[in-house]
Amino acid sequence: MSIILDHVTYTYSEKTAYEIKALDDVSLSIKDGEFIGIIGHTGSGKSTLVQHLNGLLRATSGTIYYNGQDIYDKDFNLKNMRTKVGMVFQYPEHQLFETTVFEDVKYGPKNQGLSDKEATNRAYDALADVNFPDEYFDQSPFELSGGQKRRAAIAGVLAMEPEVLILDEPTAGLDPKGQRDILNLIRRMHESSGRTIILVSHSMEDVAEYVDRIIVMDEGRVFLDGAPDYVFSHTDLLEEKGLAVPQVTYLMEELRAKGIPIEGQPTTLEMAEKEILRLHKAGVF
Amino acid sequence: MFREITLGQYYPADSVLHRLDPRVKLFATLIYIIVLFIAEKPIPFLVITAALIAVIVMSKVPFSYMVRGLRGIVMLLVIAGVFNLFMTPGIVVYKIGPFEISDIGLKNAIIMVVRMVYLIIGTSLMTLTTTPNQLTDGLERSLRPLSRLGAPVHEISMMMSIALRFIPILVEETDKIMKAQMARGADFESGGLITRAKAMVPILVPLFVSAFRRASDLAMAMEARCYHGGEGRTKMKPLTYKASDRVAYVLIMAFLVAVAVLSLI
Amino acid sequence: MKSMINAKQLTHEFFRRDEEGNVEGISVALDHVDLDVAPGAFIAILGHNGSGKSTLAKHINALLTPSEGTLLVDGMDVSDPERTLSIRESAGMVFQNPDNQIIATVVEEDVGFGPENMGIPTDEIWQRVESALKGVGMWKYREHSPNRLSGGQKQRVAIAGVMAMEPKCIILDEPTAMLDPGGRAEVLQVAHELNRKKGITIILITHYMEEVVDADYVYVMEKGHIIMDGTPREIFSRVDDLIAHRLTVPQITLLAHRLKAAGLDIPEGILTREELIKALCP
Repeated sequence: MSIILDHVTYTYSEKTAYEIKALDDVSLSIKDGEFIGIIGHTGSGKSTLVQHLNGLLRATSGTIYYNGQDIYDKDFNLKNMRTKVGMVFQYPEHQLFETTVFEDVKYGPKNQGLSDKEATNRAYDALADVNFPDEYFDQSPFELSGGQKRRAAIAGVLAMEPEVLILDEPTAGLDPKGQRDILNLIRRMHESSGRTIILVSHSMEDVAEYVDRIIVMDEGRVFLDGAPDYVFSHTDLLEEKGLAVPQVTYLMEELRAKGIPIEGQPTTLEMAEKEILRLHKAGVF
Repeated sequence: MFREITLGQYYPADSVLHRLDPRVKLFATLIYIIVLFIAEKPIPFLVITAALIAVIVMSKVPFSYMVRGLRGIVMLLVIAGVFNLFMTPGIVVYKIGPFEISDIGLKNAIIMVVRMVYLIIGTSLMTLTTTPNQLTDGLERSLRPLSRLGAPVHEISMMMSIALRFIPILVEETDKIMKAQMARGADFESGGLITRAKAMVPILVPLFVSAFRRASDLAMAMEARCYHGGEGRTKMKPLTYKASDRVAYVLIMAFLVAVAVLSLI
Repeated sequence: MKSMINAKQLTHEFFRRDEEGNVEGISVALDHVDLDVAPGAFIAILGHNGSGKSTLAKHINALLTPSEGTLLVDGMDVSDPERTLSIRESAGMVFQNPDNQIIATVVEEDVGFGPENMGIPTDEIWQRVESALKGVGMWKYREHSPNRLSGGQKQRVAIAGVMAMEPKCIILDEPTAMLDPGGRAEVLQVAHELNRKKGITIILITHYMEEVVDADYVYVMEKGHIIMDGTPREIFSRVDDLIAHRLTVPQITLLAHRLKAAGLDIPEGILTREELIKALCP
């Protein structure tokens, strides 16, 4: 299960005065089971990029291969692929429409051509996966709290049992409690099913803590790509683009500048704590 | 990019026509439509053509923008023209197989087509040189006498300007919801009419929910900013007549009289 | 000194209704809240969704009225319908969703909307619009359509729209919840500037801990109650309490807290990196 982007370019309003290259010659390879974070500020092309991964947008030039098959080939079944590469949009609760949560979650599986019984089983599993409380299954999705609506909407995508799950800023607009819950949920989904997860986020602290690989987008190009400690060792480059590194990474760099022998590139609270305690034991602090 | 869609297609430029009071332009458009339907003979049409050309030149709007409005109605024009051409009885002037063209048919067809084309060009001139806001302001002021009779003129114009602000937002939202449902395997393209209509439900329901949520948010935001109807409100951009507007009124009346007189003799 | 906002035992209840509209029960959104804000202060109200913080904000703007207790805004009682418009003129409100509070299709016309409603003469409206847009750094966008602005810019326009009404106090109800980090910084900077330069009382309602670090005073709400209040430093010294209420503590404060627990000699209530570095390497 891999996705390969080969020199993909996407241009809005081509050949007009408004022409914008939202993606500019992007080549990427996403392997099975990876947990990837995509960061970049608004307009950097990150949302456009993820919409290409499941064929919702069609590249102006370049090719995308899903498990080795060219997705723009006329024999390729795009509709089928969209259910394999699940996409949770920003504010996904805005797509809820059925009379009950349960029926809404069944919408995806039914579109896949599954029987009512199979769709029901899928919906049960998906709602259980997002810790959705049973007593609200038959509630109208419009009467739920913000965090529950979001879970129901994510379950709606999970119920299609996608091999790859893309989430575009899944925590936007939730309170901190809700944000934490959703991120932990996503981590658990990655750990238990091993499916590929692509998380679009604004929060450096969140991606540092959760993902294995970070792709930084800027002006439609891949600007940096690598493990969190690699990406966040480029503080100057990131700041030039108006981005930042996690607070603890700044702290450790400032300590290093003061001559303290920090080892490695701590990017999370736990890593920083461990390093400072190590130095404390060594008698530095 | 759905944001490119704008209602009424305003063309920004600095011309005499752009600077005219929207009330004058609304009045002129009304007179122009009346005149188009009074005129039947060649001479009045020549006067109208001359006036139209003069106004087009004054507007500084590229002619291609006005012709764009015609594209949508080409079929309608052809059908209406052909009907008039072949179906009107009278002295036969030309024969193609079983089809006969009469003198009156020819005349009617020409008048019909010219009227339609002139109508589209003339009205698009108004929307191209007036911003949607000026248009609603102009309407509100022109219809103000009706509010004394109890018509909700202020409310209607407020509704129009809010609609102008939210149409692009809702269009974009529709696009977003469609994509989200497509990502859940929805298919909007295949199947018969009923299947397709059913497929629209997952788009329409969220769209209505969102529109209502926005409406209630907006109502609260307006209240918070002291909105309490049209009473006691002042205007940031009040409409006031300038000398050029008065001249324009005179010219419009002169134009109406000229065409009316020429049509009678 | 006269207070800008004074709440005594402020309570707001609303009826929960079933599908037929029968009353099922009563929910208490605000439960005997006491609050006092001095003119020119910058205060923050923290809490989760459903903690009652937005309900409180709507009372200050007279969009809701108390079921019990009193709330005075600039000396005016919000329960007095005669004063509603005056209260809204002295305490303006900025909402969460940037799109749903901009009324006009041109930036400057939107900023003029409030003054128009107040019946301000045309010349003065223009002066107010100019000074408000310059105050939030959006003057050069005055002829733009709001649809083409970024989230942070839209919120600045919304703030200018309130500023043009020349209020004494601005309530910002989660103004950054839907923005990216850049937009969040823009909005906070503008709020602090208005507070410092023009002496406008600011009430910032948020669920981001990082945003309250520079406030004069912080209230933490839960289930309609104020559960903590104090200066940011006092609040951040109570890390265990904050975590118990599942509020997120800024990364640096949390790190300092954990290091202290592990035996390092670090004071409580560390707010910035500089403070932590100073504590580590004196």
